[in-house]
Amino acid sequence: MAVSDDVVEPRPSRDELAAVLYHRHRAELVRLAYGLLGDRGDAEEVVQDAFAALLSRWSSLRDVHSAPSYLRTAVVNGVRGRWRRRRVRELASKTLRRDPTPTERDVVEQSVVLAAVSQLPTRKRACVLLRYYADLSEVETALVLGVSVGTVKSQTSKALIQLATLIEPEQSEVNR
Amino acid sequence: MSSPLDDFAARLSTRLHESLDAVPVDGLPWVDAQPRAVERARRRRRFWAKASASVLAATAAVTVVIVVAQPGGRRPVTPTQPQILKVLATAAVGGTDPAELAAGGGWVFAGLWDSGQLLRLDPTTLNTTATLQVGTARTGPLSVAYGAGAAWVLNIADAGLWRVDPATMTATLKVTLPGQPSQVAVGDDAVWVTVCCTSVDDSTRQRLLRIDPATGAITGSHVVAGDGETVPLAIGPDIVVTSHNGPVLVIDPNTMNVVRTLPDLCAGCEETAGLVAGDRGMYVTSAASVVRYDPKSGHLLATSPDIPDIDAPLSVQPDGIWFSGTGRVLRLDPTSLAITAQAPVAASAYLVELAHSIYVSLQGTIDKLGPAN
Repeated sequence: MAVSDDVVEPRPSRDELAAVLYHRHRAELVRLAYGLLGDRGDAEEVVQDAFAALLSRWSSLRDVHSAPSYLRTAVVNGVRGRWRRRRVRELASKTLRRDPTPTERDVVEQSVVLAAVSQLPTRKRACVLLRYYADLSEVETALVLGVSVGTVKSQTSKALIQLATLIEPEQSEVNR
Repeated sequence: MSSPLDDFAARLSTRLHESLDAVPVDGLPWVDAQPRAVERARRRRRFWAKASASVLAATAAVTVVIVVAQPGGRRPVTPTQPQILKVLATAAVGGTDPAELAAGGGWVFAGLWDSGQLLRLDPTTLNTTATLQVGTARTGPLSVAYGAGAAWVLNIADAGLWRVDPATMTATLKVTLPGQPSQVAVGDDAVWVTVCCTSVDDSTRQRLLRIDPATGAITGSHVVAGDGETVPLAIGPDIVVTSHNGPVLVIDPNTMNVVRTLPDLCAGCEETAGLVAGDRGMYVTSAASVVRYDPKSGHLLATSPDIPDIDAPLSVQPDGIWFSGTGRVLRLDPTSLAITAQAPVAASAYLVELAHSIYVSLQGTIDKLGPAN
């Protein structure tokens, strides 16, 4: 019997789709988390947690195309958890340090631009990285952060001015 | 023509891509990564199960009592100058887990997980006036609430809901629950309990139960989607319930029909979202802020200022939304979510309000907070 053209291929399973998503998006997500946290180990763990959350909520996803957006949100929320725990640790040890606290190796490897970004308060840092590294729109960034579009606009604008002062202090026009 | 800031943004984007794309990421295969990720998720859920259990229900239940006790009694809030609170009294109750708290009938009740005891405390001095042994050490009480003239306690040891006479501190009713208890709250004419793991075959199933406070009969039941052992529950005009990795369900208390299903409100959050309900909406902790939703439409109504050290437990009280952060207790305006009061109290967990004082439990102690002046 000839094989019909309209034979429907079996739908990929959840694990097969998750594996595809993992290979396609993991590196980008780890780098986004690294930009937010300044620590590669923490960044890897946050992304791993995001994929675990994705698996456990698979049935509630609207469709597989919404998975990258879900993962991005999960990573940002995971990063916020890390920020919070760092603050707890810092308060406990009475050794307040700038957040994030990159490892010595990471400091050496960090570029000027990442070092400047790491000096931003957490929400501004998230706005900048989501807008200019993840290339999200203001609306998408607002959805990921759970804030209004106006907050994204104002936080991003203030962050840009602050970064311009740090990265390009000679460009007085930007800083004016 | 683009502005200098736009030009800078374009240069920044390029430099961010250059810097971050150069960060090496190892190629851990999915087949290795998946089991690790799942195991991490399991460990986290176990850790948070106890930590976030019961607070929300207990405090929400207390709210109902307080509102009833103080009709029309919303105190004005100061939107711009947060009120500073100080510690007025402290009780040493021992243990390492913060006590579960409930208030009502002129008493503060503290459930001590480490010793399995329920304490009745004088609200002025915080002296212990009576003790009831509920479970053995670390088997209960898991969640405490006050309403319908009694203190209500969930006990892991016998999978039971206990009704406790506040005057004699004796158990006057014991209800065996069809699963591991999670949270208890008391509404106008029913006690609400969430349980998880209702059968061996369906270990991730959670249920919301409606219980007659007089007879202990289970008068309604509803399955709650999700996979957590903790099933947060809050009582407002409707019943609001959720579970880790599940949607938030708004449930009619009379019909037990789902009025509204809200999607995952905090994707990737480690804790099951802190959840309370009040007259002005439903409040959820979302990673670094408190967010107010309209439970009917699911629309986001307000977001609090960024609070990076927010903890999950929330409490709707007559004067605002209370919660604990690292090293402080905060009160938010229930509409705008602006910070209206704060107390510099070391990492606190559970909190209730009684007669305009806030009671918070810390590791081994309970503090009473009031205005600094």
